[in-house]
Amino acid sequence: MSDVFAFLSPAAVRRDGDYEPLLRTPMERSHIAAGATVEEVDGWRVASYDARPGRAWIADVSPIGKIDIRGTRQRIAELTANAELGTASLHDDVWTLRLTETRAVVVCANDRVATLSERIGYGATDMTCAWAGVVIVGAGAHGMATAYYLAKRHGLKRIAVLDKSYMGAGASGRNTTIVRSNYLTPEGSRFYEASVKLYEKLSQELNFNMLFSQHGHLTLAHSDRSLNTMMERAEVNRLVGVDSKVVTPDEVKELCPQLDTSEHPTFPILGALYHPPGGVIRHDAVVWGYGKEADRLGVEIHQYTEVTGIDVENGRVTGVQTNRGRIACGTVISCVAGWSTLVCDMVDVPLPITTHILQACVTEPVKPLLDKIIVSGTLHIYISQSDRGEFVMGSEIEPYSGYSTKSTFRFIEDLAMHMIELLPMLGHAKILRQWTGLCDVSPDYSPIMGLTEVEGFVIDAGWGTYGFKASPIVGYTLADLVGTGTTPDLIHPFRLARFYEDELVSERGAAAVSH
Amino acid sequence: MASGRLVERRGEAINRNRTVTFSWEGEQYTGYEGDTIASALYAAGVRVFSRSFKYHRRRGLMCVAGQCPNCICQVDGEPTKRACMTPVAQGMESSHLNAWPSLERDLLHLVGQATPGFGMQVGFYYKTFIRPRRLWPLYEKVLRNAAGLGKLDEDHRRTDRYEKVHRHVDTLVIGGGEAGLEAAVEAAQAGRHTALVEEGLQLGGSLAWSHDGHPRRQELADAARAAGVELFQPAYAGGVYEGLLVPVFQGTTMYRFRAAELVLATGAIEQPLVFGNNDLPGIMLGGGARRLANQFRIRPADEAAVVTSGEEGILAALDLAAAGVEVVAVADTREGPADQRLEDAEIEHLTGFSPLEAKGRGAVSGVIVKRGGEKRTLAADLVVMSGGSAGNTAFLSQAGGSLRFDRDQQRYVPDRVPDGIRVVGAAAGAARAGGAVPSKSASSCKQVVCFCEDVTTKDISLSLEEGFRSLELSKRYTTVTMGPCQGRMCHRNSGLVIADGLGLDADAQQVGVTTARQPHNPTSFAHLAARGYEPVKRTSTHHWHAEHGGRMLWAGDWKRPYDYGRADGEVAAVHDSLGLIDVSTLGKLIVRGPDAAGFLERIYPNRFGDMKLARVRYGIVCGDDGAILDDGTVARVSEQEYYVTTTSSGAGAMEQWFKWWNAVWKMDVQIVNVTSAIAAFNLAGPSAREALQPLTGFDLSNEAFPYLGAGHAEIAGVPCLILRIGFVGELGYEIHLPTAAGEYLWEMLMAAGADHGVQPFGLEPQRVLRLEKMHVIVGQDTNAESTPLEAAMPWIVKLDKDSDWIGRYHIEYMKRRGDRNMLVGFVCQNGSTPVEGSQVIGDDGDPCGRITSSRFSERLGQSIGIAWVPVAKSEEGTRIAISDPGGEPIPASVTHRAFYDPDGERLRS
Repeated sequence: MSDVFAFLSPAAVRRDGDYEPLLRTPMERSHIAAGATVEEVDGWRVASYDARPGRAWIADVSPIGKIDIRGTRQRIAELTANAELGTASLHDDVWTLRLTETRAVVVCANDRVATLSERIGYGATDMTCAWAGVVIVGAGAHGMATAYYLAKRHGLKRIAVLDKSYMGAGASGRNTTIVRSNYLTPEGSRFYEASVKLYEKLSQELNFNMLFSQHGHLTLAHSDRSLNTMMERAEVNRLVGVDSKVVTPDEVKELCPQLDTSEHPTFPILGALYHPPGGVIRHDAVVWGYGKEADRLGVEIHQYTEVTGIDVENGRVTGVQTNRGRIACGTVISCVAGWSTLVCDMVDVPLPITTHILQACVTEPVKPLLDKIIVSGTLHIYISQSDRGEFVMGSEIEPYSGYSTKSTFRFIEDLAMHMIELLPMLGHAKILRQWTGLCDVSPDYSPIMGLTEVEGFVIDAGWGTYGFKASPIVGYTLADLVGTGTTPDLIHPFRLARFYEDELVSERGAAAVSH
Repeated sequence: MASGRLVERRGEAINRNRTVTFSWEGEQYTGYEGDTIASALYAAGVRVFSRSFKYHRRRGLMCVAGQCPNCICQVDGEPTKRACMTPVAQGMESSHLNAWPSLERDLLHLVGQATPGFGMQVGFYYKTFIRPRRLWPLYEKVLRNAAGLGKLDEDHRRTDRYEKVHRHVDTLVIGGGEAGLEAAVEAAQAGRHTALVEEGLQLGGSLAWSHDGHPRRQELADAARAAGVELFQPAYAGGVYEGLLVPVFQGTTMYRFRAAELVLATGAIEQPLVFGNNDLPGIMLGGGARRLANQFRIRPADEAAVVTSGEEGILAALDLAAAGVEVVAVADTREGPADQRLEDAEIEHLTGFSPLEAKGRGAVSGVIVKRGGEKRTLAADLVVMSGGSAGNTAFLSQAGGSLRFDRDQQRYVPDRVPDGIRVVGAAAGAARAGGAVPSKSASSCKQVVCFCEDVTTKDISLSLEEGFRSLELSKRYTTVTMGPCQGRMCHRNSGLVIADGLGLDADAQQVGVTTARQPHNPTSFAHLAARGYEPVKRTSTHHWHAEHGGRMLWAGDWKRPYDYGRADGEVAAVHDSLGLIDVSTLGKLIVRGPDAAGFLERIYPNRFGDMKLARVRYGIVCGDDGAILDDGTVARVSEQEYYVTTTSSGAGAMEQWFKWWNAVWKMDVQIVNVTSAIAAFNLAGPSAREALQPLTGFDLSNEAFPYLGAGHAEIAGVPCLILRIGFVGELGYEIHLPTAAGEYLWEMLMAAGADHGVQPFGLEPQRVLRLEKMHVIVGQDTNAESTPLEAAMPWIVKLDKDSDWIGRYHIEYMKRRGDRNMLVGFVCQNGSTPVEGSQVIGDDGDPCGRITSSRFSERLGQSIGIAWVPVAKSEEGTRIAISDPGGEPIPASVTHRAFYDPDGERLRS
């Protein structure tokens, strides 16, 4: 255990040289004031009182081992020997209290915590001391949201979020901030619709204005083939309750007068998929908002802390190694997008994912005049204008895989060429800055979320170009998964096992440039 | 206020024999040829050039070198031009960007002062307007109205012609200062083809704006010309990209430079000092004042005070004195004795003094400097500030090089330099040292760090207090370094302020540096796009189609006739008499060699090894996952030669696929893509034989040339390969011929068919005809996961073939697993025609399938289509419900038989 995380773990407190650190409860002074004698037991200073006759006693049991257990109904039932809710049973000097259908607490002698936790296995969190119960790798929007909902909705303590860089340095700070839910599959549409709904109230929930600007999203069709795909998306969306429809070129003109809807462009606009709730939101603010509230709820956020290994014993996660020391934990959630395959390699969980780069750029700010998000799959471009007046633009992922974040000139050349065909007014707009991010692309263009064959190792990967828009619902559902031990229905289709079970959720038809 | 110009001097930028008249803010001004908008206006007494981004504070000239944002303006309808880099031109119209109603009286200035609560301190928008949620759209409207610099003309259309030129040289030098010119001359004299790029209006870098630099500048420029250096000036390099690609922009031309050697002579950028009110008009960098005085020969002020932390301030003081400006004092943060040169010029040198705050309302009237408890007020109408200079190393970083902090010089210098690059001159660290900036000043006035975004020291401190405790986070929260100057004016100062706030050692690089991103200068779309090249492929009969009413639409890389304006009539003609369609876009591959048969056996799930000569067979190609990649026909034209067609959009991919596998298997096969060389027409309809026979001696009778025959024939004198295939469900001949003879044969076929009422037909009628036969269109009816088993073509998969074939493993698995979804036909029961993309509704109300093709067939009098349905709904006659965006679901029944001529009698007739 390194000095950085020592504060998490009384077990790591050691006698060394001149120092003899002791563990004491915050009540110690009161105990002494009340006449108790204090003596050392197993490294703890424990207060004891002379026995006096009386009708009621109060004892400080801080040093007693406490284990929080979360799991499926069946597991909790087994562990508590089918005890009724709210009742405790004593067996072999260990008290087991069944709090809810899916939660129990074990109280035992301090020196038995480690053995018992191991025996109980996945879902057990030692609350007495030490560990982070849950370590989240990646302090982006997904990691922060997961930490927030775990703390907020499930009351989990000892959550640590680690990032090898600063928070939001990866895809969360490099995406182009689009939020929408008009996906091709019913599974995808429902999932992202739930995300949009959370986004709509997020500024209020986190008390941080994320500048969510819902002015609508237009996906243009330049061929009858792509118009067909739009029709299909519109129908799937309509049937699952997502606001989305196909509009004609005249309607496109009305919605976005700046677009050249004439016959002149090389690829004339034949129609579009219109999605009124689509919008943009300040991406950094999403990370910061979740981070701020998570921090307030006691989540530990450690930047510039790189995970270098994950310890697995008997098929179960027992801790993570970092460049700043080890953290013992029972659950690791990997929320690292482009680096997913690398983190999963640490626990030998193979992922069917390839990492590609995606580029984006932004112009100097000018007076806002474009309020719709415009996407064209045929031209490989998309654009929106932020509340600051910058045009934010991007393209499709590069066909080659790799981790280099170098930007290419070809990207802004091709983007500019196609962009001024669509929006001739942009001729004099100037590109100020371009950048590159990593995308973890799955075979069916749907995410991979949930449990793996390593107990306690939870993944959140395969986000391709659409991870940012899912951030709130990812956090919400992953927190439910870890908090209850049960996979929520909304993310069941995205489990890793689908690749073994041949149950793909294919978004490929709509994927080309699906921002 | 100073006015007029100084006496003429050799090497000055202006030509006093020619005047130029232009407008600023609607008023006429006159300058000299060689003036920039900024220099001409400054000479005419203009001091306020812009309003700042957030607080709308008045801003005057600062760098006069295109680095800072202070003179950003709108020129001839183009926003965000730098007045100090834009030469004046006769009749040019220029104006401010960010003020309302005018630059002098800007009411938006009040907004910054009037916003209640947080004011407009950093991140205020994250903390305000949160509740109630329903009012946010209103707040947002207000925010959007206040945002942005300059307006784009919504009706703008491209008129200027922009060009791209590809250039290859031995040496490319970026930067035409002393070091750059020297490097260029040396390279050119060594026989290397050398080009040099300089963004300034004159060559020579600092030689051009120092008062005694002209002779050396002239000498170097002459040497460069004599040595044959190609000079691009004024022009700017847009960055260093992949493979050392350097785009260079000059006028309306972009040069894509590739050089064997890249020399970075990009110089250094003078840095502002941080003190109270350091953004008042009249506070200028040393280089700015010297450019006005020496390059444009303007006396910048009557009285000037200098605050500096380095040599630049002293040089500025000397140059200003030489230009007749009264220099009241030089306050220098460095300790030590007074500088001899200043003493000689009788200028007071206040060593150890740092600036506290500037005085003045609307324009600077002086500056308070202090040393410990001692304060001095220097009255002046120009305050020159200089915080030393930072090497301009952005290009090096973009190219993958790295920097290290040099404590002696107090600046970053190159550390690792990639192969093929040399850094010379000030960028390499060979420059006058300038001390670090005082990052704490007791002034309560705004101390601007980032001039683009109005970020002050207080904003940065606040961001640190709120937990954004690193350079990267503070940068994103405050937006410091993220404005139009891209950090040139604020990168170093913000790092120092943050280091100070966090108690870090800025010298020890504990704060780090942020990424230098491309492009190096803001670059317009017009430049980057230039003339857009969007290649289109045209068949040999393209113009014939266009002249005969063909409605040409994109189909992959091709333009093809959608129809000829009468789709229904075109369908009827094929059924009743004769139609002709141009299918030249089909991919065409020749596969030949001793292993040709074996090769195709491995590529395709069905058999080709047992094919008889002069026969043609339909085939599909699957990927490793058993999913359909493409389809087409394969004709065996000789023992070792096959003629393969692919879909129109799949030609390139199939060629690659075939060649890739051949490289893996190393078979004795040659694969040639002849798509462009061969035209193809399909003559279809009951009268096809009758119409075609007169043009050829080849016996077309059913006995001699039955269905699925392939034969070589001369038609109207043109050598052709005829494939008898059932492409659109009627008797048909697909004729392949040399592209060059395409238009000729098309016209001959049209003429031969005239008596039979031949109709050319397009893609839309072809789709209806194919749908009537329930022919699957790969890519429309199938997607990336469709296998032939489920896509209604199990008969094509020969699992008993001896050889292995691509996709076999997965298809065998699918066979064991059983089908889940099926591609089926359907007939609508209520006369409605569903739109393609409609969903088959499951028993639980969820989508469980989708409509991939759907048309009303005039011939059948029914709405028919193809759909993916779950196996449970795939039995012949099953009733399904199809969603309809307009209303109630459409009832339909499933069928597996072709809608038209299900037994194929017409094909074989």
